[in-house]
Amino acid sequence: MRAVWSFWSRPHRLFYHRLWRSERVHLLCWALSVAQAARRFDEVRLVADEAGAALLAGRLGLPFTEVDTRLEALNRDGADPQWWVLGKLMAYAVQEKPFVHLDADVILWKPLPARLLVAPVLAQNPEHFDFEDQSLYRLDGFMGAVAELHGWIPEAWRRYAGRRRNAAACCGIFGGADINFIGRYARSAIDIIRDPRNLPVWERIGAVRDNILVEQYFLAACLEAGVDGRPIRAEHLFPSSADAFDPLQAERAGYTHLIGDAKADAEIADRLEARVKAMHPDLYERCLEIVGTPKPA
Amino acid sequence: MGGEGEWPPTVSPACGRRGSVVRLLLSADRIDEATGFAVEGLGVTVRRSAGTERGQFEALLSIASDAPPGWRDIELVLHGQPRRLPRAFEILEQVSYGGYGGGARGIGSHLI
Repeated sequence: MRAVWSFWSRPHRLFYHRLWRSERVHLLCWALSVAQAARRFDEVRLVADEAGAALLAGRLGLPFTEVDTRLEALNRDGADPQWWVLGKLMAYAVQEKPFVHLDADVILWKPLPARLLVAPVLAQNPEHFDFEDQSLYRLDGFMGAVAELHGWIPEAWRRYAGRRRNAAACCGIFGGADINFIGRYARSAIDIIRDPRNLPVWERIGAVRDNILVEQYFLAACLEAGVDGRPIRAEHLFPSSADAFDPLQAERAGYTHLIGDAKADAEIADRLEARVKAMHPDLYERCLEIVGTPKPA
Repeated sequence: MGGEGEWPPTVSPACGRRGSVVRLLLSADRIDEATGFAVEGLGVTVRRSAGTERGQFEALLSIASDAPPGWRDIELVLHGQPRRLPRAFEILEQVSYGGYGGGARGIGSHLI
């Protein structure tokens, strides 16, 4: 199985760098994520735009075996950079063999379980949202706007939402062996984001783009719709969000995901820096060359 | 200008999410005179208050991933009097996305 990362640098540069405590922490996490996984996978591929590839594969020198700059098309086409998930979806869509995509804030300390490596579809964990407070997955607002403004969604989404499903799949890691299914899902998700009929829908529901609604909720809808009427069962590293956030479960899995505010945590940042310095001193030095010397004690 | 009858501030539908960090922008007459920013209810903390400028108030809020349904009940202190903001307010920018943040230390961060 191939390990894949994606980096559409434009959203990061414009908006999402703020999620990280600093650019140094961002690069250090990339270094640890790729260097650790490179021990487990023979093929280590980056899908990026040209600036992203120049930074990660060029200046930082991460040990990718292949670099694909197809995300540059997003810049050429003027894709809305608030849709950071477009980079991930394009990376999913272009894989021609079984793969696992890792977010750059995911670190594998152990090999992934064999059941994931042979699964048609794999993801981090299933998660559920509450219809009473849709602050994460804003499904009803989206569906209402689609109906009112004549937006477009695939039939799988319409049926899934019509059944009031509230399950999604967290994609800190995502991939699988059924690349035909994954390719169809990813291309459909890109179509949902970019279909001109949906532009007024996105404007209606706010400036904050619903990246994970399209990536993670629609994935669950596609899994339920399945192929030829038969649902596809995804294998998850953790059986639930609660299990994923349980430190003991994470330790058993050998899995770190600096999800949400963990990217900005000072104490985690300090340990990350010490860890990269100890385990990958060459990468550490190159991080410092790019972003500057360590902060004073 | 600035009569109390003009409260609440000009707002648009909320798009803040649990587990995210948001930059909040409020526009209202006399909001320059706000003396504090209070949070009522569990799950929302003020990370940074940028204060007021040109009739707008700006603050960075962390919304916990397990914030209760009433987390949008936020108060701004104006002339020493707490004022409940409407449950809808304008999010200027989603600084952090996802439903997992708001003080969370991520998954397995102790392994680093």
